[in-house]
Amino acid sequence: MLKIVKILLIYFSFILSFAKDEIEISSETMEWKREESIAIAIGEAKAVQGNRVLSADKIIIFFNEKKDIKKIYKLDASGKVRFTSGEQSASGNNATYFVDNETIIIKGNVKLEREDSYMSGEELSIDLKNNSSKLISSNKSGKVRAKYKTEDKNND
Amino acid sequence: MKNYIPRTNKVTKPKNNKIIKLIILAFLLILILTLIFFSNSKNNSLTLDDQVFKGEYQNNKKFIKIDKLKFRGFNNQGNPYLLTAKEAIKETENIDVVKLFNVQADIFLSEKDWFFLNTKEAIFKIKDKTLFTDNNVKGFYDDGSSFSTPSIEYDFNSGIAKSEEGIVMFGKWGNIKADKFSFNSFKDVYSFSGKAVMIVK
Repeated sequence: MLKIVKILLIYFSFILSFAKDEIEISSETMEWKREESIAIAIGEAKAVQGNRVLSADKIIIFFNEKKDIKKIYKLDASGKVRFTSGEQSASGNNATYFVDNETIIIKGNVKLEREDSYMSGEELSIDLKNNSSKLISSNKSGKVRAKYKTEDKNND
Repeated sequence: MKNYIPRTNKVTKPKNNKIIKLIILAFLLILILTLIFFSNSKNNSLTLDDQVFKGEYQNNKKFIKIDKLKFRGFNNQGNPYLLTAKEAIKETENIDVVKLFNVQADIFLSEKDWFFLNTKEAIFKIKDKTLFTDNNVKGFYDDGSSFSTPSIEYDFNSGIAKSEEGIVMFGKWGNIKADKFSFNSFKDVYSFSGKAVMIVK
């Protein structure tokens, strides 16, 4: 009986590990140019990989092999970009998600929300592998803005 | 007798005979070469098997039944295609339309790449070179990808396929589902609309 449970657990973990790598892209219209190895998703475009969701007006999907799709190596999103991964979410004008490196760079009027904190800047780089992020300010202000919610002690 | 000249010497033979013969010969040669050239040209032609009229053929009926129909042609880009049907019915009144049964269309996308369509029933318009079917179509590509759709219209000349009833595409890479699609086989571009979902492994 234990053996069967073990086998089932291995099977499901195997399936889940594959499901995590899978990328699902949905949109109102999609154009797949096989010769150029790209696909263009337009209108409420959304790319989902596990708990990571990238949504935008337009997403360009880049494949790493000509003609025959093998793997997605890059996603270029533009227009009302929103990226969520777990409890953190970020928005901006454009974004590039490097699938293999598990990094995303969001540019233009960037806002990052993480649990109780809120930050804004011009360029955000998130390393999803190491769970680290770097926010760069715009050239004009030269500053990154951050807001933190603090617990109201009076309520205690 | 010194003034005597034989009569044969007086007969003047036309000198142009040889030239005329040569011209006729050259003309015939050109004619033969032209015929050979046009017989090999890439024009659409309805080529029928030896067993075309294997079934019973009746003149008094309003249709012709053709077994093992083959239609060879070349699209606007010069790539060949072959349309075959196990059985075909052609109305004698409407000569442009052929109803096909157990159909297969082999289409070359380029010199190397190809795909073929399979369906049970279809209508082929000889003049427009279009194939229409609403009887579940399956398509197979040389790279192992395939698709299925409830209906399709394929224009052999322009290489454009359209479907308003949804499509599911499968491959080693994953799958795509969409409510509507069109496919430009010349440019190798697919357009999906009405909620398109692509899953890449």
